[in-house]
Amino acid sequence: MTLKNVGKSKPRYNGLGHVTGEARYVDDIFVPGTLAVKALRSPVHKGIIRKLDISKAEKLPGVYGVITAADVPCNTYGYLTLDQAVLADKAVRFMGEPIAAVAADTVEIANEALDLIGLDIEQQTPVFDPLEAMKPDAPKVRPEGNVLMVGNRPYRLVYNGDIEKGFAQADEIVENEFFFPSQEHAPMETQVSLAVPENNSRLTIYTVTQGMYFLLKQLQRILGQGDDVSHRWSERMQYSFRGHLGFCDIKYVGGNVGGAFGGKTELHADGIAALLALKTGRPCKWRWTREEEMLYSARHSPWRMTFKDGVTKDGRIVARKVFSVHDAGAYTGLSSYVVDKHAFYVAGPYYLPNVEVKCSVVYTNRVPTGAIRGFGVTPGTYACEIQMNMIAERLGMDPWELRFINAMRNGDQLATRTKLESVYLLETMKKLAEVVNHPLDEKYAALTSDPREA
Amino acid sequence: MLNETFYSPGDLGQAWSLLSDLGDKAIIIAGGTDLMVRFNRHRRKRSEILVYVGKLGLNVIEETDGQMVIGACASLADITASTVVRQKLPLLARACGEMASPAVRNAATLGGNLVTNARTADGVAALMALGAVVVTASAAGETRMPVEQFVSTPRRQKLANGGIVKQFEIPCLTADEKWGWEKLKQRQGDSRSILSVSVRARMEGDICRSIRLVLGGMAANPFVSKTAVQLLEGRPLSPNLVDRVAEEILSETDAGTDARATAWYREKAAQVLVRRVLTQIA
Amino acid sequence: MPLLEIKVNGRDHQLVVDATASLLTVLREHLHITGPKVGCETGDCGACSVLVDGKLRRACLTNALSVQGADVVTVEGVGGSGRLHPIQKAFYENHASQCGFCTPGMIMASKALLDENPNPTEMEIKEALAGNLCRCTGYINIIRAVKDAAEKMAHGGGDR
Repeated sequence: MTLKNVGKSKPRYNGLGHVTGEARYVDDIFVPGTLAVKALRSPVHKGIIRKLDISKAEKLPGVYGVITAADVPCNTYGYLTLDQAVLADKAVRFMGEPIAAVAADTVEIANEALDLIGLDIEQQTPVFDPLEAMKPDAPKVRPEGNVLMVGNRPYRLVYNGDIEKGFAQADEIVENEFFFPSQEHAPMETQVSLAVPENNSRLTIYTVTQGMYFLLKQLQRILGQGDDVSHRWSERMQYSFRGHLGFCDIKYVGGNVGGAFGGKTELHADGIAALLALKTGRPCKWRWTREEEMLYSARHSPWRMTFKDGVTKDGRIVARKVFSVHDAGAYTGLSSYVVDKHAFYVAGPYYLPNVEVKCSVVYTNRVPTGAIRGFGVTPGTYACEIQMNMIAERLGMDPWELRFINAMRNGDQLATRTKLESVYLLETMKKLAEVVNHPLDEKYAALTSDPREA
Repeated sequence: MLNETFYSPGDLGQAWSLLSDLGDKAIIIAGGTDLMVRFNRHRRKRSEILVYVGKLGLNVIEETDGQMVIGACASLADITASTVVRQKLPLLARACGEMASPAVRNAATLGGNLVTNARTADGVAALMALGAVVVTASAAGETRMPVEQFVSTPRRQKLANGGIVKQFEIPCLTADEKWGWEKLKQRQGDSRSILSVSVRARMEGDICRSIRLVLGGMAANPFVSKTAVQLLEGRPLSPNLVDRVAEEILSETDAGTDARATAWYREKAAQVLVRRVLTQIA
Repeated sequence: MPLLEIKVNGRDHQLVVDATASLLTVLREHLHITGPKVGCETGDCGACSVLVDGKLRRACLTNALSVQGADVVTVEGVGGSGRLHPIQKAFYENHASQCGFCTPGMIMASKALLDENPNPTEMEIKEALAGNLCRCTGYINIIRAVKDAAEKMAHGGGDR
């Protein structure tokens, strides 16, 4: 039987659209009557809104709707913690946080409407450094405190064995700090959302999101489920609307996305575009500028990680203690999840009889951080592997040989005590040595993933 | 009655009377590579009126008797590609060729670079090193001044009476002259300067008869180094003196910190590049 | 408001536009030609690249009225009558796109290069495309595609 496609090179299924310009991205979709959306963003890092006056903006010719927190049926959303505001109500937690949004005939009119919004914010002292934010006297980013509790602990804890006993067995202690700076995805296409009201109180949203079902759930919550919020909302709505949108009422249309890399997993533009579409009864498109994308879209957290390892003279790691701090920014988003992933894997693919990993989610007055390729594992891998090299340097050993000595084998446990059944790391390393013509000492060449003797 | 919002005058006379009548309401646009960024970033209804100067014929590139005339609206692409510029003013061809990217160079002009007046303006730096003269033309006639004087003259003075930058007049390199150009950048292509060092020097054997050493991105504007003149003119260009210039030139700089580099780094790097450029011309 | 007369992809247009409008705004919002993309609006990313009178330009930085009467070509106008231009074919066959957002701009920059220099070296390709950013591919397949396009064009190849 000949295979039609496997083993062959096939052009991208949507490649023709790319090269002809026919591929439609959200901003390329033209719906007659579409209004331009612009958001008023907080000019300060932290503060309390004392005055927000949209009356002049609403009256500007060409403006069809201005929304504030009062117009959002359910103004808190999030992934695992429902703490983020769609439009800041009283407290502003990061510079760039949306406070109000406008839908108008043109971008020019929308911008002028923003200029007409009266905003008074009483500034407060922000905190930007997560290590500072962890201190007891640090300014509070959120009422519950600046560190996310996991149960009754201010960190996710993963451990195995007895770390102090492990250190006692060590000949050398190797301790280092690692910093993995923040990164912005900078996709070629910025956040864009086009929300179109349809018959029977439905909504079509053309989206750039990478996580349609995640956001559908968040949208459904924001746009109101249940009667307790609908009455307040329909007073200010001009469009006849029954005030309850379920999954079946939102048609979420994805398609070509101009790059994402994890940066299009947050609500970003969809919520506000949807709200304005429902308020005005007109299609509303919000295209973030490059400046908004670089400054205010979710980015990779800056990670700080400390490794403290106890090692023997002959290169065995007998104890590994890791402490990581993840900067969530002003809201939780995916932070608790990314920290868990990090905690599970940061200690590396090594046999660690005694291991302790603590990872804290810390809040600061910065733009909320989010997913980016590797999602928690990348910074951990970076720190772990550099630490391994530094151990090798301390012991005067080849860094690769150090890894042969400590590589996991079948039957070993991760720090989470998950027992691994088919590891074959050593075989992969040996094959690699062969492929790159690197001669291996026979004692390493003899190693296999067979389970260790007890 | 002027009731348009966009004018494209066909000759200088038209341009001057337009600009005089419109006064502060007029915004002159050539390639638009700086202005359009402003308009794109702040999309609002505008009360200003655009006067496009691309149809005034200010894009000549010609050499007569050792003097090069380059129109204010000649594109960087045309300047870089011009055979006569490459032969007679290689410093300018090189500097223009390293600015921005191919598409931007097809539109950008030296006149625009001069008027935008950025800290790092490569075109301005190269023109300054070459000792270029700026010619502004208005209804009241033409004025000429060295680029460095233009840069430090207030706008109202230098562009009064509907004046526009018309052209640059630059003495071509002679057989006894050397030149150098170093642009420190983050990438090989499409990269704004972190700083630039350019030089035009007349050498008599190893004696430096005259030297114009210009640093860009190290102060509010590119500037001609007085240190280089004081230490080098009339003397043999020795490694010792080169080191001294590299050392003392920081007394003239006022480097800033931005997304591309810190002030500290700029100072260190400037010294290295000054040394490199001066060593090249020895 | 001023009148703009312009030819785009072989078709003449008469439009009323704002004095400060960019060519990109005119193409996308007036004419619904969406090949040129909005990536940055500062001339840094190249996603809006088009040909104006045969020269590569940033549509986002080109004041529309300043190119009164010009002949503009976008990626939609590069092939013709259901045929792919060799450059388009080469990009398609060489996996030179992933998300595809930079692709129209890359194709225009490649066309500007190959129209002037039919046999570019790798360095010349890189220099010609220096103003076009891609966040997905790492550029290698794009450069390969341009080399392939040059070869195809030398042998009169396109799409049939």
